[in-house]
Amino acid sequence: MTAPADDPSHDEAARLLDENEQLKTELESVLDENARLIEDRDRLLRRVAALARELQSSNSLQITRPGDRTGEHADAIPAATKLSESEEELRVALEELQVLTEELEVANTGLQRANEELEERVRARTRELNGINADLRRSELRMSTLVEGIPQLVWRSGDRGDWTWCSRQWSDYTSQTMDEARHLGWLGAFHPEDRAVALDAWDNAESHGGLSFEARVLDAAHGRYRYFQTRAMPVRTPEGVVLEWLGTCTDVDDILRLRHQQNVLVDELQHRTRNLMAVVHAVTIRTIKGSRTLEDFRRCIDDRMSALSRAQSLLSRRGSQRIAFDTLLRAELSAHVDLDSGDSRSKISLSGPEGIPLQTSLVQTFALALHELATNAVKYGALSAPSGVLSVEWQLVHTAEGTECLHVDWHESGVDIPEPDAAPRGGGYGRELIERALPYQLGAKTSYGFTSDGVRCTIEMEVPVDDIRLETDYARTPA
Amino acid sequence: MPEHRLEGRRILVVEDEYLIADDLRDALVDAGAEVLGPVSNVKDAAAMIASEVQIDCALLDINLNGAMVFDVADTLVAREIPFVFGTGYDQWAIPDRFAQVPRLEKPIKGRQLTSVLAPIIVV
Repeated sequence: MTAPADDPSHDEAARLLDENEQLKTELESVLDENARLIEDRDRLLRRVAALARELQSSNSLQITRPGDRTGEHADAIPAATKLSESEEELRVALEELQVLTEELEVANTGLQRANEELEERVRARTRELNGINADLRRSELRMSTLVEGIPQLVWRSGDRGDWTWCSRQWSDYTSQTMDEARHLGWLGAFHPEDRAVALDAWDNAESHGGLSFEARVLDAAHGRYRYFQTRAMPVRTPEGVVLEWLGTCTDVDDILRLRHQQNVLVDELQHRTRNLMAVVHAVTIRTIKGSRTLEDFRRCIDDRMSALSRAQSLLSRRGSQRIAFDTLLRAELSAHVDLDSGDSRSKISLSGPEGIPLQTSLVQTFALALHELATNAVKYGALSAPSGVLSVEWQLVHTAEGTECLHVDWHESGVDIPEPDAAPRGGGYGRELIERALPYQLGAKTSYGFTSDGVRCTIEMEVPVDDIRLETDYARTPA
Repeated sequence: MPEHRLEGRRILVVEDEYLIADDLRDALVDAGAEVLGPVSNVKDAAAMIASEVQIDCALLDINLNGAMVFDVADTLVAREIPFVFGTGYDQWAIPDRFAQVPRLEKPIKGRQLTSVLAPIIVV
């Protein structure tokens, strides 16, 4: 903002005012001179009038006494002398008057010229002033267009938040009228918990050379508060005296929310990376314990790391969506068999709705468990036997408590089952993950056992209900 | 050879990821300790602390499936049971009141676990 003292149009106006003052003084002196001349003339006129009256009375005396002429002859001469004296005086006075009148005429002509000149100068100045006023009006229009066009809420204030004016945006946003916002009325549009912050900032504004704070302002149209960055700068005279404060409130709610989201994501990334390292460590240790030879270990760890990689890649691709059970299942089975081949179609039956979401924290463990089940099926189970069939059925079940559960039934048939006493084939890691890991992490109910001709495994877990899951998930998730 | 420096110690493990919890349990058992839990959530941890008379120390994961473990930590402080945080987090995620609590960065190795836990156990 520009202080008025720096405004060029302000300088110009001051110059014009000076000039007007000067013209006024000139005009006054001419008028004084004129008045003096008029006064002189009036005085002379009075004198002429007095002389004329005197002369007239002398004449009438002579006329009204014609019979006395012989008897009073001696007196006639002095009277005549007196008359000629008066006439002489009148003549002089008239001459003086003549001179004065001429002088007055000259003065009047001068006055008229001065007047004309003045009028011309006034017209010129008026034109100039009109031009400046038009400039000012244009500048004002630009300023008000700017003030009303910017997204910021703009206001003016005296010391300590004593508002004097607010822009239309403030009123539009908070539904406060200008009268309501004036003085400390604006405080009512701030969140009650943030008002102390605002007042505190005002207390320190002058010593800090500016006002700056973040606080929530009421978005009246939506009935909620949003974070605004409030700033103001003092408008000072050249001497440094604060005339007023010009301030803005800028909506920073989105920025703050994004910053927060970013922090959450960085946290989450930290957490996941560390956890993943720990999981890799745990799986490696476990694989070492379950391996008889280095070759055993190499093959097994390779498969398990691949399963973890697939889970990670699903997790990183999902964006804000949850991973669906059928997506995870198909990803794990596809790593072992070609689901689209004719052989697979006759041996593998998958049936259930698409898009049932999984708890994100469970995806990794679940992926490993499905990987172990699939590995065992390929090595020893339904996918190894010519007559074997793998059937996976799943459904969404509404519980009595009003929650939703995913039920999975992994059922192999047509398989020769080993003796019940025999050690579990494949080290039993899959079984452990199903029986212990899934219940441990999310309270899933699971079972793992053998029917007469194959493995039978059931999993029942709660489906997450939160904002990540959208109604459209079911339709959108690819098969 | 394991050093058995935690022989007979009863150690509570709170960790939401089964694979990690299992790994930690193995490492502690190898060091001679008796593992309480592992438990995967705040509720189970609170129940275990309430029911166990003797807990020598605890190992706490910070983020338990989205819930922070700090309430559990406060309960342990109240019972004067020493504990350490196992964390994948930066230091700032931990409240100031736990500034003095030792931290183990994941992945936690067995030897590291023993050397951090053994000295804090009140004999």
